[in-house]
Parts: sequence; structure tokens; C-alpha cells
Amino acid sequence: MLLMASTTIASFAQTSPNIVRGVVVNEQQEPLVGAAILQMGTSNGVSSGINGEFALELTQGGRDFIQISFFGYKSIDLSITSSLLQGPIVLQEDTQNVDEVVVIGYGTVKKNDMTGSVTTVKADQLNKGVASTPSSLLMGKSAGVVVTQGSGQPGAGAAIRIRGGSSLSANNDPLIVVDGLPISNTGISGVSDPLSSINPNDIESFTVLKDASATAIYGSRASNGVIIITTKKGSKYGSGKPTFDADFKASISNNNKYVDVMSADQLRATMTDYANRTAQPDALAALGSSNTDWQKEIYQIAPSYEFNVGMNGNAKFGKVGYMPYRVSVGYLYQEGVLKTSDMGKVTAAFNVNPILFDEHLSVNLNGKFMNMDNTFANQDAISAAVNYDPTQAIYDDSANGLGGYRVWKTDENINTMATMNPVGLLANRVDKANANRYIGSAQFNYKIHGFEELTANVNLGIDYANSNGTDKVMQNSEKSFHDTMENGSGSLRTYDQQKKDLTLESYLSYNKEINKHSVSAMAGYSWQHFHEQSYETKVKLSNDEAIGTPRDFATEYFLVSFYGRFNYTFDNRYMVTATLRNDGTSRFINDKWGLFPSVAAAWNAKNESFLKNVDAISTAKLRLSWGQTGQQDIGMGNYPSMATYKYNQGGSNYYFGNNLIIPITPLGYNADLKWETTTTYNAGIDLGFLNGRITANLDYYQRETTDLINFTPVPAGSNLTNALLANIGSLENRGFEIELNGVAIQTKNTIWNIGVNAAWNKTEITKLTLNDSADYRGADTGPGVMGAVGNTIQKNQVGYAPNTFYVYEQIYNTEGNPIMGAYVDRNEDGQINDHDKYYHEKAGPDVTLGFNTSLTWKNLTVAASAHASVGNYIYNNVRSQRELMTDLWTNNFVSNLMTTAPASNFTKSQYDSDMYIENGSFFKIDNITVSYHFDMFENIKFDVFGTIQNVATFTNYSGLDPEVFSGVDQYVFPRPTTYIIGLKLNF
Amino acid sequence: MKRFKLYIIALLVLAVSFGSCVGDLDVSPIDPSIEKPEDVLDSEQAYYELLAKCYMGLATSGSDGAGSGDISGIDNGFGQYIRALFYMQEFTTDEALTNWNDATIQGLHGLSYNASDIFVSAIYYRCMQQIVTCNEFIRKIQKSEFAGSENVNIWVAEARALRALSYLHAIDLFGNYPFVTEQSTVGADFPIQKSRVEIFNYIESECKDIMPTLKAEKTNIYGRLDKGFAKMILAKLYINSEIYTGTARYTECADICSDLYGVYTSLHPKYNELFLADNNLRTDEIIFCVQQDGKNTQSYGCTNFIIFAATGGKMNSKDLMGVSSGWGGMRTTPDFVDLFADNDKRALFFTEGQSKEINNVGDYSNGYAVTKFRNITSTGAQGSDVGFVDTDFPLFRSADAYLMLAEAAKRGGGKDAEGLAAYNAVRVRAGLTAVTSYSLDDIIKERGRELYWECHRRSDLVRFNQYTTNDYLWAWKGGVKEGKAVDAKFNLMPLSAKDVNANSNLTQNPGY
Repeated sequence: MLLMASTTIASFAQTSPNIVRGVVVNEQQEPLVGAAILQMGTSNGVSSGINGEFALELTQGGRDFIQISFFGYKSIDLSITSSLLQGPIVLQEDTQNVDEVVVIGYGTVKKNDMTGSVTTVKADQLNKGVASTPSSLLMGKSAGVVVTQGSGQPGAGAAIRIRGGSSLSANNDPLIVVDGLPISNTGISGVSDPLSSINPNDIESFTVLKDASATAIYGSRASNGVIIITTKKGSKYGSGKPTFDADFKASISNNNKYVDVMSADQLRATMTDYANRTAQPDALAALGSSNTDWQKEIYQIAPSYEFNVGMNGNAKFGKVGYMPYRVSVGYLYQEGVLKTSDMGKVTAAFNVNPILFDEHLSVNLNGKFMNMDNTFANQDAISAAVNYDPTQAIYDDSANGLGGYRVWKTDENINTMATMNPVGLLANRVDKANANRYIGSAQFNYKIHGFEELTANVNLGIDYANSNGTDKVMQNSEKSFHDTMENGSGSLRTYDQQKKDLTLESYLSYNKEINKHSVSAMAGYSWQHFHEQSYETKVKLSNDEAIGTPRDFATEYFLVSFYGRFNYTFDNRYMVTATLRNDGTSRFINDKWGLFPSVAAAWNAKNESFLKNVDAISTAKLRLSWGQTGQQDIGMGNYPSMATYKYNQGGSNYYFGNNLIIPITPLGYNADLKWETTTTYNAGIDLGFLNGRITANLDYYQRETTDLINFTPVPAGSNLTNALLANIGSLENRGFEIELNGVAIQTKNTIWNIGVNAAWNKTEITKLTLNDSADYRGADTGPGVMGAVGNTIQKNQVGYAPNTFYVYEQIYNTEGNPIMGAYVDRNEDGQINDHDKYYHEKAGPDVTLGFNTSLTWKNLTVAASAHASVGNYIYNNVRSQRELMTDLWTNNFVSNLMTTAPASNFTKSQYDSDMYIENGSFFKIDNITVSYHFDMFENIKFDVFGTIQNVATFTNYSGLDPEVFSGVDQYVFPRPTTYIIGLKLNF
Repeated sequence: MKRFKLYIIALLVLAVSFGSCVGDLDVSPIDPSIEKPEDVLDSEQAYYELLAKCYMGLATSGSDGAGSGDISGIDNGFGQYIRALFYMQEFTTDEALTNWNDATIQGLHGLSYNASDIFVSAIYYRCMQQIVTCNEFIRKIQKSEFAGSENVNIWVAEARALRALSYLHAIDLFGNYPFVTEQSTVGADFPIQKSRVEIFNYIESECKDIMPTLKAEKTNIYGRLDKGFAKMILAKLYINSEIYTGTARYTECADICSDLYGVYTSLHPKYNELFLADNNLRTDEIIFCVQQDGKNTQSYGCTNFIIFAATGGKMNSKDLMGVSSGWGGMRTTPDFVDLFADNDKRALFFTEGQSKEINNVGDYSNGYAVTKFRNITSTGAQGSDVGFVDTDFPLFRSADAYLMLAEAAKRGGGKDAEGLAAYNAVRVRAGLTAVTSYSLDDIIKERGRELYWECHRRSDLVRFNQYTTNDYLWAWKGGVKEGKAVDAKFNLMPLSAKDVNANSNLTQNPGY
């Protein structure tokens, strides 16, 4: 990393050059090529050349010290007048490998002392390019971390899963901690991505905590892993003179794949045949004479640009202390490939870190602010464009049209069962939102005077967001006529929402080293309050008459926790970590508290005598851990265990005589609801070779979630409703992960880094209901199937992975075409019914892979990243919905179908056939970046780069995009390919 | 030592602050629409509002507007009580079929449902939802300070009658059924399953027990039930007693229907006005209505479903049906159309663009559409909202009692003269001539013509042994165009597989 930095970081050279020269060698007196030499207090540096020589021009304002560092060696700091500079400077091999510090829960730990499964991804390893959201930076970077980008909508969020998720009904998102503050992982109205308030350019590193030893200290919310985001800070070694970094990017995005529906001519031919065959002359007569490619009409080539600037510095207060700081602002404007969608976002962040009183008091003040303006396109246009009759024109100014758009009518009435004009849909709805979010924290870290082993830490945090939006459907538009409540009146929905999460944490930590014994202990307490409120109204545009009653909503919950951690290391060879956390939640009235322990041990074999002198092996460590974590983020309100009554809302009132009564409704509740618990076993090996040029991390894990919080049917009559959250069921997770990183080539001019990671995961439901009887078919799950209201295609069932498809086995004729309605009679009872369905594949992948590489030759760098998924299956709902021949003409309008429809020739829908379950395995090249570093100017260094994002997808899946999180492919806002050029400045 | 004291003080301060923070875990809802029961139920009026919920459970799917739901496992619209009942009582018969493809909906008309069927589960859970809501009301009000007042006694009797109604639907559809009363505790018990006979006896004793407390016929305010309601439950019990218990009780049926015949002395002159947007005025005939209101009582079930689903094809949805658009879903079979004589005023069919024959179930234009229920008033005006109907659902009306009287008489329950008079009253109102004698076959046909789409048909066909047999075949019965007989097990609906799996006390019906 430092090697890279030396070629990309620029310096601000001053007049009257003062040059430090030297030669860097190892203990065997062999020259070290590529060691980093940095003038302290600046970002001014060079790297050593072919003979280990270097010459560093010092800049004014920096300190008179240089730091020499090289991967796998202990770095040293030297005065520029040091006599050591005269002879070869010897770097000692770091027997503890790197003194790298890893951020973990409530503190940091030397990587060497880690007992848990933790991956850190630094900023310069992250995916470059226009990343409008931090989560996309993480794609493919760590084994077992699967990031699925939501859609191509500007600002869309991503689903992140670590090791496949351990819950069924409850939330499977990892806990996200930003600069020590756990933040809300749910969005706010108008902002779909909860991470959008963090500018990707401000991110210093991601740390992913995977096993229970690492996560258990976060107890209650850590069952699905933890992602710790650390933002950039001013350097402690920085000088008083600020440095600046800035970048500018511009891009265009293009949608390059479309659903394979018939062209106008194909439809005419198909309809002629069909209408004649079925004697429906009306159908043929309804065809138009135009040739409209609706999917082309709704998409555009979308521009975007982004500008960021940051300032780093270090203010000095003489003897009192010093204060590193960083301030940054950014602006992003992005249009979506779906016409009428766009987003503008301003972010600002500051990080002030005064270090006072002889480094006894360290304060960290952190603020992040975001303002986002979103215009959401009416995404109904996407399905409409697939379905709409391509023989019709877009516009019709005659009386047959509506507001200038061509619409389906029966006689003179608007046909409300027909597909709506896609272009009209985009034009006739204006859906805008504005959102703000502030994340702020103040951390005080006080090393107690006279008792320096003890540190007291207090952390106060706030995560506040508000949004407001208006969603307008135009009066007399087709969409408004299709709405039975509006009937052409148009509508205006306005909403606002506030969320406020407060955190108070305080802990004491103690560190002591006596001879070979190193002990540290930490104990703390945390209090969190989550509050949310919203208000929404909807009125008719024509006369301001209310549609429904205004929605006034508020909710809150509390978490209170006590936690502690104990570490013991003997002789840098044996390490033990134990943690314990007791969490209380207000969501479980009668069973508030959950106790979550963990124990881990590690053996650093490299420090044993038999490996100490084996040069080829630079790291050899074995890790074992066991731990428990909890889950209470049930995602279904905050009062599920409490008896409550609801005041009925508008439309749900009742007349007794002439009096309109507002009834009250008793709600179902489960007073016995308690913590879901996940127990994780993890075994890992860390290996390093050739001074860390090659590293390998292997992990095997097994997880069992018990008392699964499951939305499940309760015995009819036993409660006030028929299904509730209950602690019924269990789930098992097993997996193996490997991460390999290596420097393939390391010469004076060339560095080639390669990183590969792979993860295999298997999840199985082991218990689901109170009596898992043999003829129970499992619980319906997953999205509703388009075209068949009330149907789902996935089941959760004992013995299978979550979201397993439950379908009929299709029978094909000798030509290989499916025979309509012909399914295998699997239970051989002579009839085809629900009992002949079978469990067939699942939505989640078996194996996920990530690839990263960067090749630097002199000033030119080429970097690429890719990710792959194997064994994920998809229900192609677009195909299953658009293959029914009778849909060509039904309810007096024409619909377009897949080009495969005439061959299948279905007159009855076949939604539950396994022919629509397709293998969604894929390999995606996410981005390729070429950048050139210009260092010929003295005052300013800059990089110019070009990136292609979402470069190519290799898959056998027949739909648009095999990356479908739910496993049910419906009409999505497609993820476009993006071409970016950018400029990065340091001065 | 001084420093030590400081630490102690610091610890105490911390302990106090921890204590108060831990106390934060005891929350009360801050959502303005939710409260703890003890905070809500602080007045007699509050209990009145809870009673309204017991009624509204029949009318809407949930408490949060048209799309909301009290139960899970089915789309909220599909799972509304009357709609779910309609699927069971009408889609399975000659009176209705659909071109929709939602889940297993085609298995209803095809008589091939099984225990996993979500439509069967929907009414299974809906009946119980009514029962537990009524239980909650009775349980809470009887323990309250308001217990024992005259008003409260009437309310409790009404809730018990509503509960009896849902138990009646439950045993009619499912036979043996889980049994809970206000004595059961919420969240504690696995309900036991009681036999059809045991629940039959329970319903009968409940109705008799509350009869003196209930208000006399036509004396309660509109929307609330009276003695007529309980009598109709008893009449339904008795007329089906042979099916339910194996013991015929036609005499008791004839007696109680005669009782109603004495109160509801004449039918409303115009048949079609019973099913219009202002049918709340038809208290001369309608004994009890489940209300809908275009502005205030909205659902995607009940009559809203019946009217929207029936609207489609070449109908002018606004002028003819009083709704903004149609869902193009429901028609009737040619066999049912053939039951009507040409001059029968009850043949409210829409035929333009519709074929009588049904070659393709999936095509709305195959089969006549039905315009019996409409969101238009008797004066031709539209209902208050074209998006939701005002038309109430006539759950019980006296014409049904008339026909039960005629049937019970014919089956040996006595009151022969009265039976014939009642039968003729129904015929004459329909524009047909009076007869001097009639057969049981005339009765089942008359019940079809008179009561179609009012959720009686399946029970009636079962009683006449025509539901699963080849005594009467209709288009697409058993999944074939000409119709065919099916296994007799389909006379009973299967218990929900979900519940059988959740409650080990339950035994599934034979054959499922």
C-alpha cells in the first residue's frame, strides 16, 4: 500500500531544495527496492530504487524527520541529520509481521494479536470510479461478503450479506458502525440507501467482522456480522500547513440490454395467426400501424458528474497539544437511464481530533452531513414498456388519445385494465424527495494521569435524518383514471419523516504488559434510543379532497447493554480473548435481556522457535473461536410483545345507525417473544510468505441460529390473529472462505498486485414450526409473483435453504418444447395438484468469488475488479408472465409477449413450472480503470483516469441481469454500463 | 482514602444513571394510533367501538383502510370475510366462476382444492378471527366496570350472536373445528378441536340463551343485529341438521321460519332493489346487512369485490354498475342461466359481447356476466364513490326464511300451507305464477334463482346431494367442460394445513 502511495502522492516542492539521500537494505545487506521514504508531517515521499537508493527532496513546513517503511519490515524514523544516513540503512524484518492496527469493536487491536475473523479493506484497495454509495466499494473485496446493488436508480441502496445471513423473518443486514457509532441500517423515505450520507471519497477503510469472537462485543445487533467504516482523518504527523485533495469526475451511463419481446412486425404476424385461429377479429383490428420500440423510448443516455475536495491539516497548540483535522465537501449529480430520474447530493464531513495534555486526552469530533434531492421516475413504465403493443404510436392528439398520449379505450371509456402508455407514465407523475442526514459523534478518550494503563472513553452520537417529498399524479392523466379512488382527479401525496437515533457509550480499558505477559481488559455500557415519526397525506388534485385519512405515525425502541472484553497474550505466541455482553431491548416485554458470550484463542506459530528462522514463512497463525450473538431487529414494529389496540383509520369505520363509529381493533401479540440467538464456531489460518508478499487467510465456520424469530402461523384461536412473530425454528449455516493476496511482480518500475477471494456457504433450515409434520409444505416466502396475485414461488422449508423454489416439474415434448399444463405426477396419485410440486434450487449462491488486480508501470496504473456467483437460481417472472398467448388480446387491449411465446403457445399461465427457474450463475467484470499519474509539475500533482463500470456479464441466464437479490426476477430499473473520466489533484 | 471516596461516589452516580437507563426499556406505544388496552378501554363508548370491530370484521379486511388486513397468509383483499366466503359458497358452484389465475383459484370451481389452498385457509382463519375478536370483546367487557348494564348485556348478546354466525360458517364448511370462547386466554392455549355436533349444540344453546336479551326484530338501529339474526342462524342449523348431525330437525326449522314469516309478512316488491347502493332502505325484507360505504367502510372484499369482479367486457362500468372500472373476473355458467324462465325478473344478466357457453374458462367473454349487485341507487344515481361501493351485503333476508319454511314443510316439518304461501310469495315477486304444489327439486332451483351470489349455494347443493354427485352437473364442475362428479370428500373443506401443522390437537378431514 505504501508502495502505491509513494507513486501517487504528490509533494509541494519548495525552492532551495534540501535533499536527503540514502540506501535501504535488509539485514542481509541486500538492497530493498520500493521501500517508502516519507518526510514526516507531509505527504511528500519517494520510493527506493533498484539498488535501494533514494533521494528525497524535503519540503518546507514538514518536520526534519523521515520515515522509511517497507512491507514486512519494521519502519524506522530518522532525523535528516542522522549519521545513519551515511551508511546503508538497515531495516529489520518485522517478526511480528506488520504492526498493522485493526479497528474492532470498542478499540483497536494489532493485527498480529487478532483472534477473530476480520478483514480490512483500505481505501486504495477499493473499487474506484463513480461510486455514489459506499457499499458498492466493497463489492468483491472480502470473502463471504456479498454486495448486491439494488437497481440502476440513482442513489439506490445495496443489499449486503455476510456469510449468507442468519435470520429468516428478522433483519439480515450487517450492523454498520461509522467511526465508532452504530448507524441506522434502514433508509428514510426518499433515500433508499442508508449509507448514502457517507461520501465514498471520505472512506479510509472498511473492516468486516465475521465471526462471533469479533462481533460478539456488539452482541445484540451483530448476528449478521459488522462492517466498521473508518473515515479519513488528519494525520497525527501532519504539519501545520494544510494539504488539499480534489477530484472531478464526469460520466455517461447507458442501458444496453432489453427484454426480448416481439417487434411490431413480429407481433403483427403472431396476432394475425392467433386472431384467425381463435376467431377474434377485434384483436386484429386493434393493431396499429406504428413501429414503436417502447423500451428504447423510456431510456436515455444519462450523464453524471461529481466534485469532491478535502483539506487535511494539523493545528498545533504548543505544549498543550495538537489537532489533526480533515474537512471535505462533495457534490454529485446523477441522472438515471430511465428518463425523468435524477439525483443531486451534497455531502460534507469534518473530523477534528485534538490531542491534548501530553497525549492523555484525545478527542474525536466527527460530523457528516448530507442533503439529497431525488426525482424518482415512475418505474411502472419499465413493465409497461415491455408489455405495451409496439404497433401503436406514442402520441395521439386526436380525441382517441388522452392529454396527447395514445391510450387504450373501450368505446369512449378509458380501459382501466389495459397497459398504460409508458411514455405517458413517465410524464404524468412527478415524484420528488428531499432528505437531510446528520451523523455526529464526540468521542473522549482519556488516559488517566498517573495511571496510564487505564483509559476512559465516552462516546456520544446522534444519527438524525429527515425527509419530505411530494408525489404528484397529473389530473386527467391515464394513470389517474386507472386509479379507482382518483378516477382522473389526479393526486398529490405529501410526506415527511424524521428519524433520530441517540447513542451513549462509555467504557474503561486497561492495558498492561509485564515481561512476556500482555493483558488488556475493557468494560463498558451503552444506551441507545431509536425514534421515528412520519406524517403523510394524499389529496385529489382537482378539488383538494382527501384520499384516505392522513397517516400519523411514531415509534421508538431502546437498547441498553453492558459489555466487557478480556485479552491475554503470552510471549506473542498464545492469545486468548473473551467477551461478554448483556443486552436489553424494549421490544421484548417479558424477556428483555440476552447474554452473549464469546471465547477465542490464537496460536502464533511463527513466533515459535521452529518457525522463527524459516524465512519463507512470514506469518503462521491459527485461530479458533466460539461465540453467541443476538437478534432483535425484527422489522415488524417495535411493540410485537405487547397487547395493543389500534384506532381504525379512514376507510375502516362502521355505521351504527346514522353514527359513524371509529372502531378499535385488538392486535395480535406474542408476550413470550425473546432474543434469537446465533452460535458461531470459527476456525481460521493466516499464512504469509516471502515477507508478506503472499498472504492467505482461510476460515471455516459453522453457525446455528436457534429461537429463530419467525413470522409464523399460530394455532387458530390461540391469539388475536393467525400469524405472529414467535421464537420457533432454527437455521444452520456452514461455510469456507479463502482470501489470497499477492504481489506478483515487484520491481523498480512495475508492481502487480493480485487479490482473489472465494467463499462457499450453505444454509439450511432445521426447524420451522412446532410440529414439523411430514405433509407440511413449508412457509410461503419471497416476492409475490407478478401476474398471479397472492402467489409466491419460494418456500422456507425444513431441510432446505431459505427461499427454495417450490414448483412443478415440467414435461417437454420430443422437440424440447414444454407441454402446457403437463407436469410430472411426482406423488404418483394419478392427479396433478399442489402435492406434486417439489423443492427445486434456491435463490442464494453456493459460491461467491471476488477478483481484484492492479498493475502499475511507472506512472501508469491499470486496475480491474470482478465478482462471480455460482449456484444461485432465479425465477424468471418476466418470462413466465409474458408467454401466455391469450394475453395477446384480453379485456379489449393488445399486449406484447416474449419472442418465445408463439413457440410455447400457452393458453393457460404456467407460473409454477420449473422451466422458469434458471441458473443465475454469473461472472461480472465490475470495473476497469486506467490512470496516469502526472508528477512533472512542482506545485501540483495529478492523476487522470478513465473507468468503465459494469463492464461485462457472463451468464447463461436469459433475463436482463442475473444479479437478482430475491431470486425472483421482476421488472427492475436496469443497472447501466457507465463510462467515467476523472481528474484527481493533490496540492 | 479521599480518592477512594471519590471513586465510590462516581460509582454511585453511574449506578443511578444505569438504573434509569435500564428503566427506558419499559416502553408504552408512542404511535398515535396504538394504545395499550387498559388505556383504550376506559369508557362504555370504547367498548361500543370494540363492538363495532366485531361487526366490521365481516365488512372490511383490516383496520387501516381498504388494503389492510387482520389476518396473514393471503392477499388482504382476497382474504376479506365475505369475499372468502363467496369463494367457498359461489365459485365452487354453478353460480359463479372466474377467469383469474390467482394461485389455486381455478381449483375452486373445478372442485379440486386441498389443505394447502390459500382460499380455503382464508375463510378458515377468517371465521376464527371473528370468533377471537368477539371473545376479546366479551372477555374484556365482562370484567369491566360497565358489565351488567342493560346496554352492555345487549352488546354482549350481539357479540355472542356474531360468534355463533362464524361457528355456523365454520361447521358448515369444515365440520370439526377448533373451539375457543371468552374463557380462553390469549396466547396461552392450543385450542382443542370440537366435533361438528358439539359445536352445533353450542351454537344452538348460545342462540337460545341470548334470544331474550336481543332486541326484537326491526327494533335495533341499522347495522346492528336483532332476534331475527339469531333466528336465521337457528333456521340454518335446523335445515342442515341432517347433514351436520345426522338427525333431521325440520319441525324446529319450520317453526322458527314461521316465526320469521310472521314478522316479515311481505317481501320487498322489487327484487333488484335489494342489491343496490341504497339497499340499506330495504329493512322490510333484509334481516341483516354487512355494510359497505364508499367513503367510510371500504374494502376489496364484500360487495365491493362482487361488483368490481362482475364488471368487465362491454359493460359501461360507471353508468351500469356505478364503479369507475371493472376487474373483469366473474361470470356464471350456462347451466345456471338455464334455471331461469324468460320472464323471471331475477335474471339479471349482461349478455352483450358475452357468450352463454364457456369454452375457455380463462376468457371473461365466455359466460354471461351478472349485474345483480350494483353501486347505483334505486333512483338511478351513482353511489357516493365510484372507487368503493355503498351497496350492503344482505347476509340474511326473509326470502331465504320463506324458502326454508317451504323446504322444511316439504321435508316433513309441518306448516304445509304456510310453506306453500311463502314459496308462492317468492315466485310472484319474481314475476312468476303461483303454484299449487312444489317438489324439493323446485326448491333447490328456486333457491338458486332467488339467492344466487348471496353465499348460500354450496351449502344448499350439499344438502340436496348435488354438490359432488352427477345429480346436477354444470360447466367445468370437476375441471371438465361438460362437468363431472367428484369425490364426496369435497363436501367438506379441508382444515388449513398450516393450522394442522401448528396445532397438534387437530385432525384433518377424511381424504385430505
